[in-house]
Amino acid sequence: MSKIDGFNCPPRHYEILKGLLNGRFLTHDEVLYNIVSDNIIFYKEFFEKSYKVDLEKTAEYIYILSEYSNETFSRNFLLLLSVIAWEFNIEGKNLYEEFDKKHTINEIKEKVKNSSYKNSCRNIDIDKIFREARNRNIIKYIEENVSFKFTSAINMFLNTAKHIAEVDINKE
Amino acid sequence: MIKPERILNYIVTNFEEIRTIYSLEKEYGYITEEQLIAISLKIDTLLDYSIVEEMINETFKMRDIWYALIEGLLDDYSLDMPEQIAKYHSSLSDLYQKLKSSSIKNESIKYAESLAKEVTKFESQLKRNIRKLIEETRDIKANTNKLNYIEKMKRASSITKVYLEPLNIIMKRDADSMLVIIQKVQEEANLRLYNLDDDNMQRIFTKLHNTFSGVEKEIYNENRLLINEVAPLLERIRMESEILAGMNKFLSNPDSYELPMLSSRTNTVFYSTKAKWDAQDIWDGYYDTLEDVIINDSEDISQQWIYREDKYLKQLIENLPIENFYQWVFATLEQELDIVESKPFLQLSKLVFNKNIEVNYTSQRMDIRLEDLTLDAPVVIIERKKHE
Repeated sequence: MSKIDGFNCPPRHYEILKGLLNGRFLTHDEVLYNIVSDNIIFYKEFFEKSYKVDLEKTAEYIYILSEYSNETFSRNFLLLLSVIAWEFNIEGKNLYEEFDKKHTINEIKEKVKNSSYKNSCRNIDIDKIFREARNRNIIKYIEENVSFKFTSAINMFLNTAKHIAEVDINKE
Repeated sequence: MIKPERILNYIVTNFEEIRTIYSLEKEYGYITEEQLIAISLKIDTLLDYSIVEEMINETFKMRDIWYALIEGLLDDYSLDMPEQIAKYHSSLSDLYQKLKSSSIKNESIKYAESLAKEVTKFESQLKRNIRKLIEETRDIKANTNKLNYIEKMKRASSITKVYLEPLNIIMKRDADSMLVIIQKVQEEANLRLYNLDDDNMQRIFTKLHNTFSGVEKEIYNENRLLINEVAPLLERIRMESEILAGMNKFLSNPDSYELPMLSSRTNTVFYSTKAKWDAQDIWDGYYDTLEDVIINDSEDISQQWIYREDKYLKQLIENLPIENFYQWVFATLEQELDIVESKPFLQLSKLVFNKNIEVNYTSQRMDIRLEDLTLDAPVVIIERKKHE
């Protein structure tokens, strides 16, 4: 094997690496997104060869899928999101518009409490899951722990729901 | 001839009945004699006023002008675009072919006028239908009919399939699409215009050209409306419904679906400028965990023995001469500490190297018993330093 002289990588590599491995979404409005996007071949290979994880890129966000992960966050967050979406629908609201608006954590708690699906979120600590969602860049606090907006990373969860709609569990 | 006011007046007076005739016509495409009798309007009057006409198979039909009037008054347009457009497609291309091959003046005028009339009808039909389509789409969007999400999805996808897709196919630049026929008529009108010196004919073909070019512009405008407004709206409704359908399935059975596994906090601990993040992550993880915190009793620092050279040197000098240095070390420590261990003993023994004292080693040795160790130490005599 030939000797390798040095390691060349794009700027802010460490920040990118740490963020993505911690399960953070890079959204298209961030500089880091552009850096990864411009060097997508490098990063796909880098993550695959170094960590055996898949780097996924869409026009709106970049994130890492890891088959070794045993996180329960996606499940709990999708449950919470589904309950909220269902409530928006009952109120006759447009989902996309609602997901684009500012919300308060209390309003979300209230919705969950009054939902016929509230049992689905029985074991979910809403404050905690929103904090984790913030760390993963799925929401941005407008006022710390009080109000927030979803980032474009929310679309990963909406796409997952769409995918579930297409899956027939009886056939699987 | 019956006065037009009289006919209008009759329609106003009997509007409910006329409306019933319209509904029957709309539903079945014809009205039977029994149905007309049941309405309790005199069939003869209806025929006299030309509101209905008798067909050859003894059924009745509401005349087009009245049908269109009532439809317009009730704003009761149905989404019938694909069929309607297909109908105009064939009538317009038929008339165009006839115009193209006709060289007789009167015939040409007749075809040109029919074309202009037909295309105007097509235009208003198209505009009405597109307006209706936009309204329908907005209704679904705002869910004014309180449809549940499955119905909403069905409605949105049926509108897309039945109306939008055929319309787009008709509108696109195919060899014989509606747009192409409309452009061909304009070319034909242009061609005729330059080869004519008859003023009347020129006027007719100018009008034909202008009408068709106006319609073309309208079509582009309507098509833009469709592309800009209806298509994305329908697409969004369809997507939104899919998302809700998926969420509903997920909520009823959350453990039956494979979810994307996101990367999680890595356990590698490395301190860096980004350590704040790690700390935040860890802190968040424990934020709401209530646990008993056990704090061990810490040793009282004041009880710890600390070696201070100046203090002990002073003591040593005050006690000079000392016959047995290590014995003195032990005795000094014993005064201060209950138990004398090797660590403070060895520390204090360092005084032996101090340059301010005179050290004389003897050949005698003695055992010093410390708590954790027994030392075989020499007997050392310390005297005051002799000044040179």
